[in-house]
Amino acid sequence: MIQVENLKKSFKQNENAIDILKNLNLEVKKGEKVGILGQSGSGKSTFLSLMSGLDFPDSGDIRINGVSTTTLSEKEWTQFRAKNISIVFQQYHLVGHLTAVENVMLPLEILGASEKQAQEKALNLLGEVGLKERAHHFPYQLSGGESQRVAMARALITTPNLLLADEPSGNLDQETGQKVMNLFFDITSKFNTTTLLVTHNEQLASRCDVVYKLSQGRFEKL
Amino acid sequence: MIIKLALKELANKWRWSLVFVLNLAFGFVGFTTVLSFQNAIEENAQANSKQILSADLAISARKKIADTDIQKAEDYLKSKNIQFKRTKVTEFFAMISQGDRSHLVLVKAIDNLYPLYGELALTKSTIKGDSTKTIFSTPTLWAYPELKGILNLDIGTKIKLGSLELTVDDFITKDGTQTFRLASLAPRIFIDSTWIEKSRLLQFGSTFTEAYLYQFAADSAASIQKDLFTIISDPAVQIDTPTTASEDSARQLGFLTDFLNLVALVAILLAGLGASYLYQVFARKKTKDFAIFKTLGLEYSSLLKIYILQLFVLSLFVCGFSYLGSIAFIPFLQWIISSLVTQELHVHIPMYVVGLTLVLTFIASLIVVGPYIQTLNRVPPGVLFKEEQSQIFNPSKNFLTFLAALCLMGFLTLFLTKSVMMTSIFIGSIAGLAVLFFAVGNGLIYILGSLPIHFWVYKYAIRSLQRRKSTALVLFSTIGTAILLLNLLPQLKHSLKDQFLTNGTNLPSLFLFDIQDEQVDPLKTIIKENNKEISQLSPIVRSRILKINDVPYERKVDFNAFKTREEERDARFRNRGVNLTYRDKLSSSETLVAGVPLGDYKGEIPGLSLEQKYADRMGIKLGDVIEFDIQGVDIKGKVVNFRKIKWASFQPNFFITFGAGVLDDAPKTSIGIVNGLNDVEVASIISQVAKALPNVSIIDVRQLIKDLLKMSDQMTLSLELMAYLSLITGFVVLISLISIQLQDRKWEINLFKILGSPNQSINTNLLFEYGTIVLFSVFLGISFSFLMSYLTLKYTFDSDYSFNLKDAFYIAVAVIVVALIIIQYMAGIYLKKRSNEILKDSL
Repeated sequence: MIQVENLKKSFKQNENAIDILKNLNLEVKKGEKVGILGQSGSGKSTFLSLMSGLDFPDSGDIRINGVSTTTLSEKEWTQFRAKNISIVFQQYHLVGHLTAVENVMLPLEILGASEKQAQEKALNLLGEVGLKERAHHFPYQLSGGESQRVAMARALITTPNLLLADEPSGNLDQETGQKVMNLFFDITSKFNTTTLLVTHNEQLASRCDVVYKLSQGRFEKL
Repeated sequence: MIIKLALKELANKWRWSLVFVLNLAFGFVGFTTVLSFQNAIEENAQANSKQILSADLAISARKKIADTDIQKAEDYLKSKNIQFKRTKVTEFFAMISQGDRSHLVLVKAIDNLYPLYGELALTKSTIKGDSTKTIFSTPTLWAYPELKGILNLDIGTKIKLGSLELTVDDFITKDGTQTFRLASLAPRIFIDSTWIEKSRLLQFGSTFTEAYLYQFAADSAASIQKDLFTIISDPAVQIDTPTTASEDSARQLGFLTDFLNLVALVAILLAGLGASYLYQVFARKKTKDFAIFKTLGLEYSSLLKIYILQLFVLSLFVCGFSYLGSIAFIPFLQWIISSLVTQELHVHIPMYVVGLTLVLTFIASLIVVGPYIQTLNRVPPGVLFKEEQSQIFNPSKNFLTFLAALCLMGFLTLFLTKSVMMTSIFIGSIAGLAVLFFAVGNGLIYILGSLPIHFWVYKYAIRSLQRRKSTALVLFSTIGTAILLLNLLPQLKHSLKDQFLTNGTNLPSLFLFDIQDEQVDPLKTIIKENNKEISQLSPIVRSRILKINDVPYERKVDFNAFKTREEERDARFRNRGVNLTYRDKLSSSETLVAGVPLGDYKGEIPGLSLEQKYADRMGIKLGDVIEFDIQGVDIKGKVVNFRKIKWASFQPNFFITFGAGVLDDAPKTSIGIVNGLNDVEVASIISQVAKALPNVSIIDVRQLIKDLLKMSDQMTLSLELMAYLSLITGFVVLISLISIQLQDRKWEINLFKILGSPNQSINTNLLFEYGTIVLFSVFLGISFSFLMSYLTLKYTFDSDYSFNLKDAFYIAVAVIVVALIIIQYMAGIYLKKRSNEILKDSL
């Protein structure tokens, strides 16, 4: 499903180049949940950016479903991402003036689905995350946990081949975080979604099928 | 610590601070500039006040002043041991001829002491009070230079003035008594006053002004003026000091600066709207900081000090930027206005204008910001910490802010224009327009929301309009108001020009006045020989009002420093004589608005018909009895109707008319018009009449209209310049609003990208959203400008309306194109950004 080969990424700081990722290699099977642990600044988020095409590697290759993404132009990446990849952010990033259901519908409508179709699926998904009755509330009317559950529903509405999650419980208290993550694992298992979960929480990572630690720019399997 | 916190925040948010400052600064540029002009005009008038009056005190009237009144005034001066010099000036209109050419001039007949102050600059010499004057030793005159071309004059040319033949001694290059060109109906000539009698131009009933000019040894004109007002009771006698004369002089340009001020105020309003929105965005972002400070134990009073200090610093910058902007803008306006002013205006930005701008900016900022600070204090910090706080700001506060802003605007308008009527109309229009723009904008958004649009690009654009309604409405009103203003002036100008030029055939060609009774027949013969007729021949009977409803009608003198323009105008109206006429039927330019026609009235006291606005100003009602003094005979009249007059028709019209027959025997002159002449016929008739009947004065109406339109072109050009400044302010507001909003929405744009939307779709979404606002606000602004120009013309000028679609179209297209370029450019900045960069910014 996913093959990452000799992936390199460095950033320039003043005159010096800092290597964030050095010859990174990874293979993920369909439906597998991979946890990636690492300290702050270890390059976890950079790795997710490269996987989602939000940033480009210096060298190496990322193949998703047999497609070599490093050869894709930004426009092709946009289309590829829309069909194959979804992201759950730590800060939820819901559109403030849209209701919960409208936020969830959005990716499907961008893909060209009809309003009715999108709304039906969005309401079902909101039901899955236990927020059907909050469907017409605006983000400012939702709690942090509820907002993240809406973000999860939005990420899953296109039935993506790959779900990238960047510290999804990082903004939540422990109890809420636990509940949200239970739901996260349940629902991704139910949809058999291949998932890359970036976190610094070892306990959370341990719930994944495979766990890697990103250190010194390389993966170390735990 | 407070100072450090306040300044640090402004420095950290320097982009926002700069946008806020530039927004308001643009709005204040026009205000600072116009106020500086007004100041320069007043300074010029004050500095030259004695030259303008040419005396320390002047006693004048548009009639012969009774010798007894002058005697009483001079007895008073002697009783107070005030030493004085006196000179007498008589002014009247007359025709002068040279060869076959004749032209109306204003004759100033002076004596040897003139001018008591200032000077008359001639091409060969400069004339002062004690100068030897050639016009007193030989039959000569001095003339304004424009007569050179009109009558083909040169030094030494002989001209005819009534029965006199005078030689041009010299041309006047500078006349200290004339500051502005606006009022000159005819060029001036100066002659020795002893020629008046020999010219036989001033006969019974002729229009003239007589002025006795005084120079005192000590500077006590103001107190003398006060005393003389009680000594000379005739309200038709005017007593002026240099101060009142300079005020009169500055007033001539006053109405132009009034309108310039109003346009400048609109720019401030637009900037204020923009600043208000900018602060709303800022306030939303500040709420967390506010909560942090509160939880750290900082008291509300300290927080308030931080905000007030910030506003003061921002106001200082606004003041500085608008000062610099004015320095750049003044030369443009000066270039336009210089053609209306005979003396060079030294325009500088006075300190009080800088101070006033600072105070106003600060007050305006407080009005904009006050409700937010108060709300922040009211809401518990826990709520402020939440991610979305838009709901804590109560929309009703916006209404209160608007009301406070309107009060400030009202105060400013009254301060600048000193006109209660203008202030009421202006503030009423703003309030009305705000309600209209918001109502129509709301309706439009509602209609858009109910349209069955399913494609997400347009659907989400409409949803954004619906859910960010306040932003949409602010943008809508800002652009709409700027467009309205910009299109209003071309519409008014077009209709007035159309009225005077295209329909010019309806206007008279010549307007004749000062026709003696015995000259009526010879005049008719001359006109008939040219195959034309003199029409609307109307008698003029000079009179003064003695009593209204048996209450003596006395001079209204008010020495209060502050007088509104309406009070000044009413006082001027009261204190002058009135011209009466008599006729039973209304002329074609008159409409009866109340009461019965004079012909149908059968009362004991003769009937009177009054012009409606004149009656309003004088406080006269239907049924009131007015007593007139007509050449020593008292005649009573009862007001039986009010008329509306179409003044732009240039027909012989009067404020007061008696019914036919009442004044038949009263001493009178006549006025009349001649229609349908071409340029050759006009020149020929003027020449023939001037030769045969030299004391009959003739105005070439078409030439007068051409001169008026030329002058109005210059005036509207300056107004248009200010309107463009308002539009630029509108665009600055538009750029800032869109820029701030896109910055606020950068995550939303990024999210669309991350969710797989192509840049083109996001671009279309933004263009559709903002383009809708721009398109509809332009459409509405143009529509309102048509409506307002129609109402203005109908109710102010009684003029017909003709659409100027061409200019409206150009303005609309230009604004839409510029606005779309701005939107496209600003959206492009965010669309070009890589998602990852925005993602990093937000972490």
